[in-house]
Amino acid sequence: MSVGLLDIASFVPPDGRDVPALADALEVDRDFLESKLGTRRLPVMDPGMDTHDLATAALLPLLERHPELRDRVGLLMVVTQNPSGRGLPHTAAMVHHLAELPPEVAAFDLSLGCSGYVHALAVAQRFLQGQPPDRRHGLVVTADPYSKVVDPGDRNTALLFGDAAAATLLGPDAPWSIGHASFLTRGAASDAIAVADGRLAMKGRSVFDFAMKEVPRQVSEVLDAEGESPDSIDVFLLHQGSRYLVESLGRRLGAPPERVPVEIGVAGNTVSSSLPLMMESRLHDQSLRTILLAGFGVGLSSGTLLLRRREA
Amino acid sequence: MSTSIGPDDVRAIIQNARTKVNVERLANADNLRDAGADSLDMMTIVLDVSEKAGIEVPDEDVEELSSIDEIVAYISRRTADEAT
Repeated sequence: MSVGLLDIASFVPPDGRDVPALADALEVDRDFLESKLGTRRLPVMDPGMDTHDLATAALLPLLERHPELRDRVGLLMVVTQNPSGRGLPHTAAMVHHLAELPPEVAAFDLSLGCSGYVHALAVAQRFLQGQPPDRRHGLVVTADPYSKVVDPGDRNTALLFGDAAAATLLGPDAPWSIGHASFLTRGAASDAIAVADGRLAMKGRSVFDFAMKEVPRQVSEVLDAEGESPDSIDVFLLHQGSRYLVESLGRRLGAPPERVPVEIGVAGNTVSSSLPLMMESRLHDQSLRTILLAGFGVGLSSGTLLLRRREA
Repeated sequence: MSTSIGPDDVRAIIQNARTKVNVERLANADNLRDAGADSLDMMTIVLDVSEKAGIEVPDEDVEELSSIDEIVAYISRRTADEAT
């Protein structure tokens, strides 16, 4: 039995930055903010928290909903590029401790940004299918608090990124199966999104061009491999980089706007958490049969895969 | 393979980019930013122009592309350079 998605829980910090006020301070036009960026509030994790706390805040409710599975977990993966401390020890080990998971769990971090969730699902699926039958449940936790690295005075990034975490439970007999996945890396453009001297810098045009050129090719590959067409996909969940990015990419994919949700207003661009945050509210929607996930960003890299509801 | 493009091609690209620019009233020499295109609109326009012409536009050249006339002239020059 192949491994798929069973459940998702999330944590969005209650405190945050009011984007319109921030935009005024940075002299960014309100119309541009609403029509192009789309952010309204940017959650920021409590100063007393670090990345492992953020991740654990999403994970604990998930484990509480599935107490019978705690001892069947074989994998804990934390997707982050802003780990607790300086990344040593790895954040996953700290989350493993706080969540009181059994020692038989393989726990490690996956260093990827906005494409991280798709990569993590594919890695987790393949890892778990090689595990003993009693260890085939896995946890993928995305937690990449960019509040650690965003320069509040940088008009290119200060109005976009929010802190959040999401925890996904994978296992056999899941309602959503993980289909064909496609991955791409353009390491020559790795400086397009990078932290230098502790501050995030982003070359918006490089990221935009990468997404507009590469993601449609990747989506076509996945749809062809799955025998699907853009018309047959119920929802395209695209990484919420900005309203303009999502809407422009949706047009390039030939997808009707109503099937390309824009939800960046909820928590901003939450990096690898943006896809599971959108997936969380759709996981139990029985009207959905096919969901395409596409994440793209840091690397530059992209990952696309198809989720298909398993027939009862 | 690069291809020259004309003012009508650029006009169509601007129209498809869904900017605030009133393409009907836009003169070929008008500055696109002054006419209502913002920085993200310009990314789409430059990308679509580069794909139609089959030319990569480096970051340092983007500022040159501020009107239909300038875009047409730039692409014409680049395609001529590539042909020689």
